[in-house]
Amino acid sequence: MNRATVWGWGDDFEAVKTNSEKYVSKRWKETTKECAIGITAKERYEGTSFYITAFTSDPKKVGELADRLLDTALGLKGDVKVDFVTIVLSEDMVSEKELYRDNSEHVEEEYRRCEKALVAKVGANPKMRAKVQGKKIVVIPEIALTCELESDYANKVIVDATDSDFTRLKNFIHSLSEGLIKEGLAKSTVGFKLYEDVEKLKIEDIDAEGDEVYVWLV
Amino acid sequence: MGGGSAIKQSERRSHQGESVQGEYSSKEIDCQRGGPKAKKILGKYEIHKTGDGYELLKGGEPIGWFSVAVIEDDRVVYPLSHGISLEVSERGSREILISEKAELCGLIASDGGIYSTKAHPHHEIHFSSKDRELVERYNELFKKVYGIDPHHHYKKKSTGESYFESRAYYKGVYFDLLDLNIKPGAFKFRVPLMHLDRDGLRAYLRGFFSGDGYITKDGELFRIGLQSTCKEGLEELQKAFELLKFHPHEIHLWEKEKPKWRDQYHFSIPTYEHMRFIKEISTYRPDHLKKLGEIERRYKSRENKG
Repeated sequence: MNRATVWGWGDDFEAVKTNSEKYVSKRWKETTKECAIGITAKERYEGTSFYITAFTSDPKKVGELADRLLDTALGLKGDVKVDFVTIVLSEDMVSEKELYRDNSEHVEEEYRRCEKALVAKVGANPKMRAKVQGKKIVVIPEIALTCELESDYANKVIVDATDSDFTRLKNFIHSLSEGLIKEGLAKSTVGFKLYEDVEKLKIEDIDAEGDEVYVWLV
Repeated sequence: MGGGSAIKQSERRSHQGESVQGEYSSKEIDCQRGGPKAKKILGKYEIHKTGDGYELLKGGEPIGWFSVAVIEDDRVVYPLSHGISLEVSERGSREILISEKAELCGLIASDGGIYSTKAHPHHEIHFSSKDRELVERYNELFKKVYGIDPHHHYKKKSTGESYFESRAYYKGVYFDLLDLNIKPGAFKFRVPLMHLDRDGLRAYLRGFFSGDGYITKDGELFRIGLQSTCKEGLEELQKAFELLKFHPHEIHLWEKEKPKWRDQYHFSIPTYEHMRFIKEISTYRPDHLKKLGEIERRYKSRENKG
């Protein structure tokens, strides 16, 4: 696997295309099957971190794809900082293994189940009993959501985001997906996957407001 | 070939011929006004007041003379140049950054860079942000520390989103910041802990937080934290908080399930330390300030309810 960072915060915007094309011209071999272009970024008003990954098997498209992905990420609402743009060349069709096919209703139900389980877990914790007795427990777990998007321009586009608020996370993924579709980089949403592990999540902080106790879990 | 003395040539190379003077923070005063004692002893060090300045001795041997000194109970601080002061205490001596320089370093660590590469030749010091206010603050600090106005740019991406940039090309400034090791490599940062006193730690954290800090609203309450792709840098930020007697939470990966090109890490400050954070560190980002204001109002309202 060949990997390189082709753009970082502070570089001229135009450099992403030039650097991507340069890298591909040097490293794309006959055995290379696919290139993954990765954006690592965060939306700093709401504190959502996210990744966009686009896959292509056409070396001539890499530069423009990287440029348009960066453009789309920076054009999102809010204060977006893109830390890097990375290129990974692979001799496998990696995108064929990136499958996220749950529908949004399933994901919502899964989150609510997780939420209920976490409320029960917090309530049953002997160290928490005195703090939560007689109050409503509001759990705030860190959760990650992945969305698979179909594309005519790329082989596939994947969006990942992490946040501590499910509604905010869902809205962000929706907004980002819409942006990619509007820019012609994706065609439609295929499905989702929610990442949460009730067993592994640990209580990090707790605070009370009125008759509610807020419990942050990571 | 060559014109002028070696000193003038060095000045030209370092500062492009300009006179560069740092400004000192208002608390650094000429202590003749305060009428200090004739002699102060701090461990191996002695500070003697002379007619027009202060002599510094170590083990009885004179090691320096300074026209200005700030004398405190447990230390003496001598302003030097380019935002550096010499701090002498019973623990020893060290160079510390004045608050303005510490904050500048924090801003550069989060949203800036120092470069001397093929892509960024000419010893570039750079800062960019979507917030004009942050870039203005950066420029103000840069001018205070180095006496230089950086070049201002206004960049627009094709989607119409705009970013403000500040760039300066000065070899002397570049090497000064490089010596502090605040940006040891691409996408890395370090906190110059050895060069930060309490005021410096607060200022550095304020600068960094103004860039890569976050304040999220979860339900009715807030979470204050810092994030970065550089885990080692975040560990040093935690250390900086601990030195100020905060109790930051552990560092976590944002997304644990899947390996990513560059992982994103973060840690948060406990809710019971939010008011201390507001008073001692705070931020320059406009959207942060609104949220901190809301946190403060809620805290006062809770206090009033008893």
